[in-house]
This record gives sequence, structure tokens and C-alpha cells, in this order.
Amino acid sequence: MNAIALIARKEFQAAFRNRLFITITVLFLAMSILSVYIGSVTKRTELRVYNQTVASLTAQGVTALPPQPEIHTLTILSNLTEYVSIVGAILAVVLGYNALIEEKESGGLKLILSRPVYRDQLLTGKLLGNAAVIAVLLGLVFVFNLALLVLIGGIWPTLGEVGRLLSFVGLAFAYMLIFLSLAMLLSIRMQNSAAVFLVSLVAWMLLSFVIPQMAETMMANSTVINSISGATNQIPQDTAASQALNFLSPTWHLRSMGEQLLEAAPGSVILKTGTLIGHWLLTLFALLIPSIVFMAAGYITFLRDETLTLE
Amino acid sequence: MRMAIETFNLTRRYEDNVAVDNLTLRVPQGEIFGFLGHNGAGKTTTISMLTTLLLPTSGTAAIFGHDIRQENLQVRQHIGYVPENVRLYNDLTVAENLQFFAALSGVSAAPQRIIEVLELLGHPEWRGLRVGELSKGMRQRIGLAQALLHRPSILFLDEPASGLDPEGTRAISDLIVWLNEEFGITVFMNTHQLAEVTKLCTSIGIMNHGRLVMADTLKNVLARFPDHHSLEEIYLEVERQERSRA
Repeated sequence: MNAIALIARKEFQAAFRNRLFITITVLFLAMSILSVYIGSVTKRTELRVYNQTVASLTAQGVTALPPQPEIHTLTILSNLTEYVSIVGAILAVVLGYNALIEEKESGGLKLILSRPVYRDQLLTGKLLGNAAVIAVLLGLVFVFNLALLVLIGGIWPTLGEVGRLLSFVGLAFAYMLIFLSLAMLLSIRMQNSAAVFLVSLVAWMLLSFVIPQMAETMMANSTVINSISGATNQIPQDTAASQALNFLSPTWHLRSMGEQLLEAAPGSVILKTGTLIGHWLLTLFALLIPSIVFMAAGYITFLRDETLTLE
Repeated sequence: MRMAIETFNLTRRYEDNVAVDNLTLRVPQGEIFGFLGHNGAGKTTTISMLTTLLLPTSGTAAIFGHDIRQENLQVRQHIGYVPENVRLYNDLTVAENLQFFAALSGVSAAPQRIIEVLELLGHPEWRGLRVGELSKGMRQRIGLAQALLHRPSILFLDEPASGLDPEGTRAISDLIVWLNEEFGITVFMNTHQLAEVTKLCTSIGIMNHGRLVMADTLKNVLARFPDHHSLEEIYLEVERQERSRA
């Protein structure tokens, strides 16, 4: 086994021995159960209320019945977007922060680099090992959510819905990779483990909350007047500035695409497939750019400044 | 006589600070070389360069004839390195830690070699213990074990007895001498423990503000200062001379 694979394997094993990581993962999965349960109950209630209404109207002799509510199967899983954007990002930060700083502080990096291992192999091994952890975790989330859909929701998803969920998982991987590579870059540059963790979290908050909120303030509002009541409603509309700001937020990309993927009606899958693939590819591209930038900066710093491992 | 270490004008600068200044040194194979000097004298920087962790700013160095810049992988196959306060991976067992480092070094039949090395240390029963549960002295010996896995020709030890109690210090010292006598392993160690140096080392070098101010066999050094009764006195005298020269 070569050095990259050895280091990747060690990182992979180390993640599943990390109590903080395991705790957050368990929390993540527990939230999924709760979310699917709540989603299923809501959908069943909607259907029950509809059936009661129809029964009541039919008893009154009404023939013009309201249309049956559409059951969007994946809507039950739509909270996944929120969980990945919050818990997923924190998990990736925990992984990235653990990848280097602890060994830097303990002198473990010196031991590895005094072996026949190149610095780029070390970094690649760590990156691949932790990326594999994220992939396994998301794989677990995918299978877990499908199982919950069947077991709790009593719904068998169609092939198209499975494809949509898988597409979302792919984007979630790219999203989590951003925070993994950011935390790794910071742990290369910084000397203090607590500082790495805090700065990573601040960066996540900036990208996830501050930028989208700033974008919201830059939206244009068009006023709509209700002709009957005379009341006015403000409808926010994107501007070039708000769109440009949102483009900088990976969380916005994940949520926007997540909504499209997980809230569509089953009947629209085939019709929208072409458009969805286009949007999906654009989102994937937007999510991969920050990871590539952070990784490149990490490699350059780690390869250029050999004193970083000696402090 | 084959040289284990040869450096010529080896220099390392950190911006304006010269950590190691034109170090020219030859350590023959089979020596136990004690590298002495005050804190910040350049000892750890020298070890870092010789173990290929740090590139020199200028000058050359070779380990058993292999240039540290051009042939760093060959150098790493020759060396075993134990940094100060070695911590390894606390959540892994001793055997798992050693397995990882053996695999990185390309050691064949690693499980058997791990048992051999732990037996060399006299503690095969430590195999299943978690490193996080070990005392500092035990961890230091496991650090030495990881450095021995690939049968190195030379060991670089950075303050091997730092922070150890007298019993731990004695155990490490005995091990170093035994490895040198039994397997002919050359030892290059940074240390402040001058009493141990007198017992262990066959030759010494003294660093002062990045410069090597003395390097010779221990016997010659002691003969050069007949009025001083211990290596500690000689060391302090050399330091005093350097201060007055500066």
C-alpha cells in the first residue's frame, strides 16, 4: 500500500474514533428520523383533512370538489437541506480541523515526514481519507433516508425520486468538501487548534448566513395591490447585486438546488430532468470552486513552508 | 572510517536570524554523538535538517553518503528519528501505532517486526495498550521503538530523556548504549543532560548561537580541560569563553 493510501486509511479510521465526530453524526441521523417522521405525519394529516372535507362536501351534495393535494414524496426529506447546510458543515469543519492541527501540536507530522513520505502525499492522504469519511457519511444518510421514507412514511420512492435524492447527496458532498478544505487550510496556516475551529465556524457563518442576508437587503421589492381588499404586498425580486452576493454563498447554492431537487412533484421529474441537470451542473461547479481554491492554497502553503511542521 | 554524518557549511536562516551558521561536522559510523548547547543554539534545527524535515539555506550535508537535498528518500531509509516529547496517536494501541509507521517505512512482515522491536525494549506486553494510557517514559520508549522498526543505521534523538524521572532516564540511556553496542547503530542526540552524556557518548559537539564551537571525542575534550572535573564544568567554561568573545 502506498503512502497516500496508508495515510488516508489512518484518517478514515481516526474519524470514527473521534467522539465529537461520532456525537454530531448520531445527532445528524437522529434529526433525519425526526424530520421524516414529522414530514410523514404532516402529509398524512393533509390527506386526512382533504378526505374529511371531500366527505363533508359530498354529504352536502356539492359536486365541484377541491383538487386532491399533491403528495410530493421528497418534500418529506426537504429538511435534509437544512441539516446538511448546518450539521454537515460543522462535521466537515471537525474533520478538517482534526486532520492536521493535532499532529502539528504533538509533533506527529515530524515523525511521518521523517519516513519515506513526501509532503504532498501526506496532504493528499489526509484529504482523501477525510473526503472518504464524508462520502461514507452521506452514503449512510442517503440509505438511511430512503429506508425512513419506506419505514416511517410508508412510501416507496420512484426511480426518479431516488435519482433526485442521490443528486442532492452529490451536491452535499461538494458542499462539505468546502468546509473540510477550509478547515485544513486554516490548520496548516494557524498554530492554535481552538483558533482554527473558531475561525472555520466564523467563515461558515459568514458564507451561510451573513452573505445571504446581505443579498436579501439588496433585492428590489415590487409592490402588489390586492384589488379587492386594497392591501399592498411587497414581493422581493433578485437584482444583479443580490445574485452576485448569493453566488458567493455555497449554502445558498445548496439550499436553492436542494429545494428544486427535494420538493418537486413526482409527475414533473421527466419534464424537468433536462433543466434540472443543467442547474445541478452549474450548482456543482459553483460549489467546487471554493474547495479547489482552498485546496490549492493549502498545498502551496504546505509545500512551500517546511517550517510549518516544526513549530 | 565510514562517515555516518558529514556536513559542510550547513546554514539555516529564518529571515534575519541565523539558526545554524556554517556548520561543518563529521560523525563516524558507530559513534554516540552528544550535541550540546543552550536553548536556541541551533541543535533542533540541525537535527531537522539532517532528518530532511527542513531544507538548509546553504551548505551541504550527507547521511551515509546520501545528500539530504537530492537523496532525501534514501536518507530517510537510513535514519530513525525520535523528537522531543513524542506523543504518537493516543487513541491507537502501541501495536497499531507501530503498524502505521512500519507500513509508512515499507517494513515487510511488520507484525513480526513489531514484536521483535517490543522485545528489544523488553516490553512485549505493551503491545495492546493504548498510547494515551502510557506514562511519559513509556511513550518515549515507544517513540524509540517506532524509530527502530525499519532497522536504521543512525538514530537522531532530540532530548530523549527530557522530562523523564531518573528511572526513565536510565532506561533510555541503557537502551541507547545497548543498541549502539549490539547493532552498531550510530546515535546523534541533542541533550542537556550532561551527566548522561559523560556516561553514554563517545564524542560531543557544542553549539553556541548557531555556531559549532567545539567537536571532538569525549576523551579529547576532557583532556583539553585538565583543570575541570566534569563535562558540566567544561561546558560552562566554553559557554563563558564564547560570551566573552562575543
